[in-house]
Amino acid sequence: MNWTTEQILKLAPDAASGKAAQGLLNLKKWSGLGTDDRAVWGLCQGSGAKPYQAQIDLAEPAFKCSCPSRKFPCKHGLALFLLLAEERSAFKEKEQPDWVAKWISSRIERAEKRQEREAATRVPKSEEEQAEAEARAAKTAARRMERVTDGVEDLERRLEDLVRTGLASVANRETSIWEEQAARLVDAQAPGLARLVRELAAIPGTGTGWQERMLRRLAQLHLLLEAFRRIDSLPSGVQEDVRAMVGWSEDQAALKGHDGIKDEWLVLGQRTLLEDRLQVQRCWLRGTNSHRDALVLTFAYGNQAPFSGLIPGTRFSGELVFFPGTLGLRALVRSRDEQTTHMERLPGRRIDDEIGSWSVTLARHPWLEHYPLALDSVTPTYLGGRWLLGDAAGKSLPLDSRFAQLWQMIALSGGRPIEVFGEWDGDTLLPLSGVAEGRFVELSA
Amino acid sequence: MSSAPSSAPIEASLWEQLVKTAFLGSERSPNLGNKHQDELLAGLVAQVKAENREAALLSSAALVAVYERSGTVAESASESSLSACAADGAPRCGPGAAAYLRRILDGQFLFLLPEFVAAVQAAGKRVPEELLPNLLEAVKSSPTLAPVRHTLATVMGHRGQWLVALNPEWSFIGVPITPEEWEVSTRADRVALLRQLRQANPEQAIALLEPTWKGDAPEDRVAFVSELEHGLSMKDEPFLENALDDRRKEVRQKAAELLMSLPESRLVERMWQRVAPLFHLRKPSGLRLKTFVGKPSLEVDLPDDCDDALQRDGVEPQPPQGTGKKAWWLQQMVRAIPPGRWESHLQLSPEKCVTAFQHTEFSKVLLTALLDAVRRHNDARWARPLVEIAIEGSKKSGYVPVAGTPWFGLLETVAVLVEADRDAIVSKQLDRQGKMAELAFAMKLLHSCPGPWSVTLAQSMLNLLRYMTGQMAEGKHPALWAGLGDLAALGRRMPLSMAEEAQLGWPEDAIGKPFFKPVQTIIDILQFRSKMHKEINR
Repeated sequence: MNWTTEQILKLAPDAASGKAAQGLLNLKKWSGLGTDDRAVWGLCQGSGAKPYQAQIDLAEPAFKCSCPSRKFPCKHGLALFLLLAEERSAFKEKEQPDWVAKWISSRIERAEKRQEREAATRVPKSEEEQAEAEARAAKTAARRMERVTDGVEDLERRLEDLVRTGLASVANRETSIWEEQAARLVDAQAPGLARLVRELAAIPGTGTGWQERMLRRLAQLHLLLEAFRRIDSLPSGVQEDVRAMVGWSEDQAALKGHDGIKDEWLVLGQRTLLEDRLQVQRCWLRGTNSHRDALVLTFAYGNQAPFSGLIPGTRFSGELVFFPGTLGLRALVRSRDEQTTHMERLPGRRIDDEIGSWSVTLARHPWLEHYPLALDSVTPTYLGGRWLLGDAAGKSLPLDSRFAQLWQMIALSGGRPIEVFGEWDGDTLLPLSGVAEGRFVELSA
Repeated sequence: MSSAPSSAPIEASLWEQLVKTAFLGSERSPNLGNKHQDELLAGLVAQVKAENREAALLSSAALVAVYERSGTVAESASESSLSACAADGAPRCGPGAAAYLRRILDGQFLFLLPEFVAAVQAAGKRVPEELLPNLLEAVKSSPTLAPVRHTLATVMGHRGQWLVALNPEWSFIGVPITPEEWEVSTRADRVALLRQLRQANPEQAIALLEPTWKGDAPEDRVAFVSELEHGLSMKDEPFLENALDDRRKEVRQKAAELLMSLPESRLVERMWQRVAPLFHLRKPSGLRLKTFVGKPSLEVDLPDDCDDALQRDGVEPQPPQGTGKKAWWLQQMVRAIPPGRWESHLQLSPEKCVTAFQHTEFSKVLLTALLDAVRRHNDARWARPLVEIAIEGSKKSGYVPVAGTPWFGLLETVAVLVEADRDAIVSKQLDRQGKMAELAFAMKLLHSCPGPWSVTLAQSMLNLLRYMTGQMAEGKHPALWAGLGDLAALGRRMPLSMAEEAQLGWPEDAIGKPFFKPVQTIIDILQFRSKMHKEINR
């Protein structure tokens, strides 16, 4: 796959690294540049006597460099990648030098071992061993269940207290009350609930109608806690939903073992959110034939940039495995072709059709937070003091007040219908990308 | 959002009851609402079983909220209030050029924006629509980018004008209007029209200005008179002569400046009538032949008075601190005189005139005034002797600027020289590769040369930098960079054709060292520009 400068710069852990890397885009600073199907490598002259050995495993891509930087990828790795995109002809060497070959083969070996290990866990062990392992696992699971149950009861009482004394009491309270509650839920091994509680903190500051929004979120949370208490009586799909919402994570390695949906997938849009110190990249896909929507989440800690290898505005053939549950949005990429092509149209529909799909999904999954909407031909419209997206059928959707690229979208449209993809939260739309005159443009900062 | 019409009023009230109860606190509310007419929902709410009133309230709220929301339909909106923008004929820059623009707008090389805009304009292309808001914001908030405001309109296409009209924040960008709209338009739009007319038909601009001039706001008059510097000719003289009586000082000053640029103007003639009698040339007499070999001496009288008529012609009566009043008046009078006048009046070559000025009592005042005039009239013949004086004077003072000497100021006349002269003089100075003060002097000369530089000049600079880096790599002269000045300016003036060559010939052990950073910056800027131009013209 061919990367562009822009895409590569998005891998930078921070703006400073991106700039520093651009300062290294000078062939004079590099020697021994080379590439083959699997890897890219080069020597970069730093301030020391010995040049740094920078290399990239293109399969992922993964970076390695001999410099002491703790940023990842470091500026040398990024610069090497940028050079490959901008001056491919300068990469004359075709044979991996030892230091590259060694790293690549160790990576291949590690990947093989991992696969073996995964395979081994699936191979039946001796009955005794198996019984022991199962007992251990059951004990751990039971201990967690106990903790989570305590956390759930604690939160339930807290919500009831809140309703008893009235939401007015939290209007001017410090947000730390939610933080403390969230911290207790993290201790109780219910990180999903912790996130939901943390999100409540911002609601009193959202202006007119916050009481209504607050009650809705509290009621949703209450419904989740109730569902958890009766989890054994629920259908299995809903059980999965509830467990995921509370904070049980799926064994992704095991998930990758399942069969998925093979299709031509369109990468419609993405955004990166900061949750605590965790960066979460939400990338939305849609299958050309299956019409399935998919949400691929990628996480990164600290100053590392989340990297999914999915580039908005492109399409690829591949297999996606969906997480269990009734919602069926969250997925991971099981396998894919490296080849990507550009997307010239969004598979959009009219506003009513898309809102209709959302309604059906919401009825099935009352905890639905964000839903992907692809709108076929909508025009930004200024009405009653705010901007909307309206379609030819005379229907319109209000835009999220946090939408930072409103003017970019207006400029893209020029007062004519464009295709827009975004996240719908039941009240407003947050556009993530748009297509005008066959040109895909990202609208998320 | 609104709910489905069939059930809207009733559910809304149930939901509102729930919100109200929750807001005030259930302990203050006698009973929870559960009555309403939608039988289905009433039946569901009735089934809510809970341990306490609070849990019941939350469960009911969850039920009603989902029930209502899943019945949401999109609002109906009337036709869009926006008119669609006309299609743009000019091709859009490709994604490669757009990526360079993004990097510039991200602040990496913001000072390259004018060059980017000019290159896009020259290529007959336009900026991708989605980058227009960022472009406008960058130009809006940066005073140094103000000159770009006038060229922006062409690279923004119809889409840009359409966008600017939508957002008052961007009204600083003038959208050219038709002459019929002159009286009812904003200042920025009128300036844009003036600018356009001055390029195509300068007289029409004056015809447009005159009828409304007296009634226009002072700030508008300042902006309009400044536009006359484009396409200036004697046809503007009557208008400008009248503007010398304007109520606003800035208007009077600008009008005087413009009239000084017109050698045939009445202002220049009046000034000459005042200045000429003050200068007396004494031809060398037989007696003094031995002391003043061939050097004519000039005697200069100071003006007596700064009357209203002199002030009307742009002379400021109050001198700055440290300058004598009459000397100050003289300086301002002389700066209004086109240099050629001296040649015919004194019957001397520019070199001899300058030497004569230099040997008067008021040499500093006169040379400074002459520098102004030479720059105003862009007179290369006169620039040369001034540059030579500056170089000579600097050499004598050991290349250290000495307070009170005009040498360092005069260096700026280098800019007025014709390119061949300029390159010869500056390259020679750069090639000397002398001591630190001399290097700093050479760099100052170089900084006075506007870009784009010729290959000769750029070559000399690179050679000097190579010499300096070599010295530093050997551990000599750690402070050599002190006189380097604004690196961005150096990188910006380098000719694009040298992008490859600029990367070569540096001492191996210098690259990557901290002291190499300034040189690297210059090379990086050149590289960036070179690739940027390639992408724009792709």
